[in-house]
Amino acid sequence: MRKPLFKTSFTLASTLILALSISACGSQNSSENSGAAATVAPTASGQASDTPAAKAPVKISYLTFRVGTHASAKLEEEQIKQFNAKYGKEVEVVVEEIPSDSAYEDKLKILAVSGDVPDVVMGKNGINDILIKGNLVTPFNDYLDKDPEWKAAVGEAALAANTRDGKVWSISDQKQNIGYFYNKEMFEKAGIQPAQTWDEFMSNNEKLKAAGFVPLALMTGENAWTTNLILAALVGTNGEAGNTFMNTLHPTDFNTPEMIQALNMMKTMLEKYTTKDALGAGYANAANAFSQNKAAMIANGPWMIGDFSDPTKSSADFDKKVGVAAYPNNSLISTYEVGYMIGAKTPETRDAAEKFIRFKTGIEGQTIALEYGNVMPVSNEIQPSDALKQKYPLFVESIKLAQQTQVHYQSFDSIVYPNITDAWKSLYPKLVFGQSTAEEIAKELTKIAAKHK
Amino acid sequence: MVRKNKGYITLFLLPTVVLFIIVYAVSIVILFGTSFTEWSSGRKPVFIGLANYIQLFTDDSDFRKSFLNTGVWVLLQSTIHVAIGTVFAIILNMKEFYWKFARTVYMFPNIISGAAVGMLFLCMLNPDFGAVNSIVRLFGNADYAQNWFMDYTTAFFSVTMTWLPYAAVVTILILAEIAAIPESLFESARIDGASELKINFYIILPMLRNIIGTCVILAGTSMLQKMDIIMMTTGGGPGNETMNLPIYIYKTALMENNFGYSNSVGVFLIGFGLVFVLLCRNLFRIGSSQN
Amino acid sequence: MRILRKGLVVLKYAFVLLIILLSLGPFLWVLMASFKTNAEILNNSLGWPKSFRFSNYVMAFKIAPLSRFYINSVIVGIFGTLLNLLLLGMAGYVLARFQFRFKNLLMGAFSLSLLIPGAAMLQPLYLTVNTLGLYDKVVGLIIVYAGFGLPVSLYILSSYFLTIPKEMEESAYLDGASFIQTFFRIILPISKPGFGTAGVMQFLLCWNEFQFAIILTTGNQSRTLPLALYYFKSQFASDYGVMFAATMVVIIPSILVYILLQKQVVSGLAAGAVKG
Repeated sequence: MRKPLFKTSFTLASTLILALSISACGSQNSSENSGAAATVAPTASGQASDTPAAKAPVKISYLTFRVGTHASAKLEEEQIKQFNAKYGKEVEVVVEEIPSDSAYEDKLKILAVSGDVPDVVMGKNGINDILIKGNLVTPFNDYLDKDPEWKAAVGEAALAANTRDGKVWSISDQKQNIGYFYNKEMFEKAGIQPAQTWDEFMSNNEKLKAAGFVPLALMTGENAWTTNLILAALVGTNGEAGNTFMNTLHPTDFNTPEMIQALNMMKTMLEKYTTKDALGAGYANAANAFSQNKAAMIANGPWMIGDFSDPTKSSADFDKKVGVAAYPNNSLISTYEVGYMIGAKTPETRDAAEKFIRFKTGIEGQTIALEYGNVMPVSNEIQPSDALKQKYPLFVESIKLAQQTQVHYQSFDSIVYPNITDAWKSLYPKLVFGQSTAEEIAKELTKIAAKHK
Repeated sequence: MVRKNKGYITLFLLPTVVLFIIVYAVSIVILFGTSFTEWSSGRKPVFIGLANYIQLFTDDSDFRKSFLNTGVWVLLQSTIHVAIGTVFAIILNMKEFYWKFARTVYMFPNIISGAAVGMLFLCMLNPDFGAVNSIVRLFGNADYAQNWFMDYTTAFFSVTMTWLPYAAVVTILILAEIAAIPESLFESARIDGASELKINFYIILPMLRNIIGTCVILAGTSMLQKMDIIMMTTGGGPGNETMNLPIYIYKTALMENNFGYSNSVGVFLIGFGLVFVLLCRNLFRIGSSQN
Repeated sequence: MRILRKGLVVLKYAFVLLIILLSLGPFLWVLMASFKTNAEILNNSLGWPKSFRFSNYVMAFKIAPLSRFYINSVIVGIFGTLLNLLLLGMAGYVLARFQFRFKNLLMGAFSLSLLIPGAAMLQPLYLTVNTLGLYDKVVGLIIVYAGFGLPVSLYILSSYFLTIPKEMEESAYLDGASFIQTFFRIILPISKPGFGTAGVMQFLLCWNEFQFAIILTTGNQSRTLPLALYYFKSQFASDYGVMFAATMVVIIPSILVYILLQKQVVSGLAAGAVKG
């Protein structure tokens, strides 16, 4: 009885020693593509001595969550590939992949509070505020002044969106123009057109329901994305005050008539016009409800268009059934992403980081993003290629929509504090199960905003 | 003999002490120190005395709810959970035909990471296509769409059910302990004509005092760490219905950017856990040798 | 009396059956789903897949660097477990068997490690690991995980040591064995069940931990398998089939490892029975 254990433990031990030696060998060359900027220095100098003629490329660290199944994974890969082909000799981008957006945010916040920021940072969901406050990033003003071409490619509006006190803290890499997609077949059967007013929107819901369809693919889990887009439209189209609210960074008072009205309407939609699993559902649930012909509408941006012709995600020929529409009152969500920031600390890495960001946000980078990820460029100069237009006619429609609409406002995620974004998932069930009224939810949101430091 | 062994005792303890210092001691010091400060990312910690603690106890309903939930879960886990595991171990120890299969299968949900278990239950209990509602619909109620994780009436129960019945760790700990009971004890009892039930009750159970105490502590304190499953399923909602202290700590630090306050909750959690552990140690007289 | 006994037997089998169902059900459901298309999962969640689509698995391996993560997980799992068992076997033995001055203080400190919330340790531990130069090193993860398993292993092992009769060591000392010899030759072999259980717990901890794995590493050469799951949980991802396939890829090895290790625990159990 005892022998087998000893035998196995012996084998185990010898495998271990073997593995140890492998990993020890491995760690020497592994630091080459590892992201720990602080620990790679000795190896880097060692390499430099091998080829004294050429200057060793400057290493910069870059964290990205655009990996795996992320909608922008392909464009990220392509941008880095093309950057390496062009500038690989001068700059070496050490990429750290962080699967899932929330894990990315968590890690960056931990790094920020410890003062160790990667050289290139995406400042999404409040990370930019933390880094600016902590004096951990460098503004772009000098770099932009030196390169007017780049400045033009990014455009005044995008720059203005990320300027605080005259300093440009980040360069936006994309414009998000978000309306909603709808199932033409279902709309036809219900005898309706995309709504021009909110009354019509609600009566459309009723007609779709009467025709036997689920009108909306909503979800309140995660960041309540598809639900909050409609909520943003409800607030943003509600007069001057509502529109101003939805264009203000970090609103602190949610106890407004527009907000309360919108929450009440959303309550009705969640109760009557959506899938049974909308409360607590994640994006995947909502997306599948729409792409599998279970719901008639979903609010989301053009990056989703590729999924409609992907057979693993959508039913056959689904892309032919989909139309795109603006929200009632001829309006659209329109935001500039926060984009990239320079976290590098030394002059060399700062310049290298700037070079990488310039590539990503310049004409080349934006074109790649457009062609590989259906991402709306920030520059008006960039037009989709004919191939893209042919492949995704819906994308062309989305661009048209952006030009036709007159009222614009931002999404909640881009204006509120991160702890509000995190709170929706617990607030919506509270609202729908009648634990709190819309007024109480609005007050609670105000309270939550006050808690953010 | 004791004096002779002193060197060895130090030698045997030292590596663990070093490990403890690396992994925990620094954290405890930072945690404790900054719990008296106002500290957020991007700013230096500023000493504010007991202000965090005062706010915690006087003006924070989310904290109170989190504490209450944590307490209830600790209680359930250290009683019902341990009882399920113990009973199952005693049944398996009868070594009936299924015992090896059952023991292995029971461990499955414990082998899988918390995040994966959460994902799994999220899908199983999905109101629309989840297995549970689908089964209910098979039995006639075609419109059944209970939203297990979001409905106020079921959320707490549903979350609890993702870990309460899965006491395989308790089971294997107790099985190992039963195996260590000398066979001679059973035999003499059998000769005296005691039934299996009586043997279980009067011989086995008392011998398990130490290990059951250990299980109670391990199971109870595991609830002080529980986060991934809750995050994956309800995220603490609806409202703060399934919020617990670890999630509250996570939220105040990383979402509200209030590290000082978050750490004061952490210190409170440690204090609460200490009371629980001490209580259990006394209750089960852990540490005293059995014979 | 007879009815009561029969009732108990029925109750017993019902209990066992329920436990098996609760444990196996979710696992089988995901296994089924991992072969289905999105449409099938949504429309026919209980039934068999129409055809066994292995393409989900192929996709899973394509999307995440699963094989690299596998190797790391195996290394971290084995080393983390061995380190933890060795250190805590030694410490647990001393704490269970001997009286000395700072014993209670040490026990208290070690118990404390059971209580420190993980979320509150993220930042301090990052600082420590970075200062020690262990950031983004497999070794760093091994040490941290060995530490995470400290309280559980300590409790399991020392309570097992307590069940060993003192006479065993006393006779060894009489035979002239030294302290270290007694521990490694006498105590270790009869404590196999304890080590087996603690080892299983520790291995699973190493295998499943996610949060610290992502904070303490940067490159794929030091990352472990649980991170792979999150490659399928991006914000705008919606392919259930592939996600479930990836879940299976992560789960199945740990189940196999458990079944393999369990054999050791079983033979340990049998050996343990001899000692009385």
